[in-house]
Amino acid sequence: MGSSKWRGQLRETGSTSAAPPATSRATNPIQHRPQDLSKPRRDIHLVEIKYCADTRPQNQLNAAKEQHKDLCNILQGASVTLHIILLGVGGTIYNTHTLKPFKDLGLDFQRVKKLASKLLVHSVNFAAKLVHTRHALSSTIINSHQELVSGQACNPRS
Amino acid sequence: MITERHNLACRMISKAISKTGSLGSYIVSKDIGSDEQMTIQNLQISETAESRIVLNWLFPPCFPDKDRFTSSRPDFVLVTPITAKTQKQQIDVGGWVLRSGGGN
Repeated sequence: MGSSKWRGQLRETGSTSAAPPATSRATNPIQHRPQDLSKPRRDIHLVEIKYCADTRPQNQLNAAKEQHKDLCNILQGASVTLHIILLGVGGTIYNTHTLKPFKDLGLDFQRVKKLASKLLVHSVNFAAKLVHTRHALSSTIINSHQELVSGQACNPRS
Repeated sequence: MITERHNLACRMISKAISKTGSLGSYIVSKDIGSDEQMTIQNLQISETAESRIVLNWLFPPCFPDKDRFTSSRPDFVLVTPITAKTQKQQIDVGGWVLRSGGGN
């Protein structure tokens, strides 16, 4: 993507939109219990978090939409919005698929930045863990195979 | 390990929304792993987030319970008071029910 750029430690793709904070969007400042809101007076937000291949977020985006398509049509409210939050397995943070949903969910810029940094570290740590585990598993298999082969070589009749 | 990665990421996001976001009190259900794990991570189990499945009052009255349990489970569900944006859309469209797919 042409507009891809590095900003600090975060890899970002797409464009940033300046959405107003969610607090300013509520029409009624009085705090309601969610279950007390009547059907036409409530907005339903579904949040789905998915890990995706860093350079191919579209597959998981489509999968999440398909997964909750029926639920979005069934639920009763003034509107039903599906917020899909995508995180790259290698630590990619997307402008449109990670940061924008956070803003839509009422987090301010500083919190979004802090959370994105935490998630980046979390993803990278788990990527390293997964690589080490796979490596350990494959070397265990190779070692046991080698032991088996050498055992047969020492005692070919057994 | 992959499920653990997902659940931990969900809990981080949940924590941020609950503690610092303006919509924290509107979370009604969460499907992000066991309560014990949440307690270990020093996460408060929200009083409003009663269930891991989508709550029955969000479904049509005649919707069968069996289907509710087998329907898809988003990681969180938030129910907020209607926004000015939705109200405007309702007036423009002339109906009550609007379906929008965010996240793209």
